[in-house]
Amino acid sequence: MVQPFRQRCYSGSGKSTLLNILGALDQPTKGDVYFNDRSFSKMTQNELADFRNQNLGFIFQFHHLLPEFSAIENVLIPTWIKAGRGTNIKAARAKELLELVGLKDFIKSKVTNLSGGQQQRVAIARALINDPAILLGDEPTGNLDSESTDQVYGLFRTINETLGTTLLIVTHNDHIAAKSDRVIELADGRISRDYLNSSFDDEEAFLKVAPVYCKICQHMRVEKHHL
Amino acid sequence: MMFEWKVATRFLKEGKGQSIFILLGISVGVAVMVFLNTLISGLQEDLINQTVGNSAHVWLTGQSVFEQQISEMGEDNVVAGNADPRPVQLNNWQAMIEVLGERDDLRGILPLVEGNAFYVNNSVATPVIIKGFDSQKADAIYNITTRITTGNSNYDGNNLLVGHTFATDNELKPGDIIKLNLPSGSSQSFVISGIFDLGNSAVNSSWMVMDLSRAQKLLGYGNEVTKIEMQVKEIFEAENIDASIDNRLDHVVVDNWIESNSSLLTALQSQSASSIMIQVFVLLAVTLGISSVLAVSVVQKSKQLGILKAMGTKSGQASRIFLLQGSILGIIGSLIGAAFGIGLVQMFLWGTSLSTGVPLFPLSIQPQNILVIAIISSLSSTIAAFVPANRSSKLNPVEVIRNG
Repeated sequence: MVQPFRQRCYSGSGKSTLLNILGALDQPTKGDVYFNDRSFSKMTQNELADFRNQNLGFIFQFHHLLPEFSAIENVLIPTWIKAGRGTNIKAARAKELLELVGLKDFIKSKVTNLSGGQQQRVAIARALINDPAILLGDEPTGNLDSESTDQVYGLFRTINETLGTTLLIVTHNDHIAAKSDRVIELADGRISRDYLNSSFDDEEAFLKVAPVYCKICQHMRVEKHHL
Repeated sequence: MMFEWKVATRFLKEGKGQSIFILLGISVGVAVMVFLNTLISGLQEDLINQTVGNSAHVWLTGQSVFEQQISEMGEDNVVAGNADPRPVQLNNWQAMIEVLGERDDLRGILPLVEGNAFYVNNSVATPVIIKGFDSQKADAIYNITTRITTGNSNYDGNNLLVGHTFATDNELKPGDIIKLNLPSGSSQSFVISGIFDLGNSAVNSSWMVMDLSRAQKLLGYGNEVTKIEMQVKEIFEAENIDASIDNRLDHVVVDNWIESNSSLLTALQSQSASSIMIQVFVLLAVTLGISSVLAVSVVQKSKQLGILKAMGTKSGQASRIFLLQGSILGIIGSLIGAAFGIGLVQMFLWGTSLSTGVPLFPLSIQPQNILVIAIISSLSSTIAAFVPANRSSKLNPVEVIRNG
């Protein structure tokens, strides 16, 4: 997994299960997952917990922030887990990340006072704080309006380009899939298609990936032409 | 600050209503325990003090000729005849006093002579007990000087002190002369110098307190005494002290207050037992309360726990978050409860002294008891958190994430 890629799947095809297995949260009934030649099945629960903490960042459909903590505290939680104590040594980095996701003015806010899109962006900053190799997203924009969705995906691109983080995103939104470098399509628990988007130009990608009934895509295509 | 601590305190702080509620529960429980404990031990102390506070705890008398002849019980042993009821004199009592004086578990030692006599008034004979005290030493046990109601406490020469009940019954006052008839047939007159109240009606109606040398002469003991009375420092050590004195001295009979007040002690013990029972049940209720509140809290926080676990929190850490909550609640609740309990005790003292000016009975706050209650309650709170903590550690993050 060296390339940023996304999988696009249909409901019930096993995408969330796959993501949980890749995220070391669930065990496969058959087979194994390797990360840098380390086998998940040979790691203890505690080792897997450390692995998740240090190598993975999770972004879920529901932001899953801790309402008891402020925005910056939520971002810092993975560093606390890593250090085993409530340290502020990475507070500067957390501020940087919150600025990166556009929440400069909400650093000390209680997360319950933020909008859905803002909360999701806090979750993204939190997923990035331990400099993970892979960012796993399970429908990360599933609960957001199209404007917030665009912001979040723009952000993913920036993260991918500036930090070199691999993003693995589960979605059945074709328009999002069309924006990724690599698309793996799942159907009934099997890979049905696997192709690189980066070889196409935007126009071609949209036509290839987005089915005709994708209204947003149509709309965006028009917008793009205007630009 | 430990990571688990930070999360635990934040959970408690954010769930303010719930935390305050359970703290209140623990505090009330601990307060009840502290109050009950102080009340019962104060009551018992008062009772014991009233019973034996101003009397002998351990005493020794001489072995009568009859007692000296008691042999091992066998099948052919037959006992017949009359025993001499007259108290036997203690041989070599000065040496015994010296031996007893070396012990540091005794507070007061009083050699005395005891004997029976009759006071005859209008042809009614009242049996009385003559107590010949060494006036220098009697106060160590009986505190008689401070317990004179009328007259003075001087009982040397032909002066004697009589009890409050005796004086009232026979219409006697200080300065009156009374005549005592002895079993031997002789009779002698004494001047009442004072009237005492030792707080015990049997004593107040029968004791004639006079000087040791006067009583020795009156009862015909020469220079000898019939009894040595002692007060011990640790009242419940009386039995052990009795045994050790018995070991040390020959030809004496040693008795103690515990043996002669066994029914009182049984009552005290059952009172303590019921007090402890109540405290155990209160503790149980408090523990179950904490356990259920934390169990609910695990369910409430399952989303947060799932996400913490997805981010790398280990199962052990997840369970510690709840154990910590249990102990934090327990410690704070115990401290508040202890203060509250002490407040209740003060209110009891104040409330019962409103009408009379003195409390119903004195209660003394016992810091060591309160400490024990607080420690046990804190520990129980931690233990109460074990079940919820275990549930928290078993929580599967996948389920939480899937269900949002």
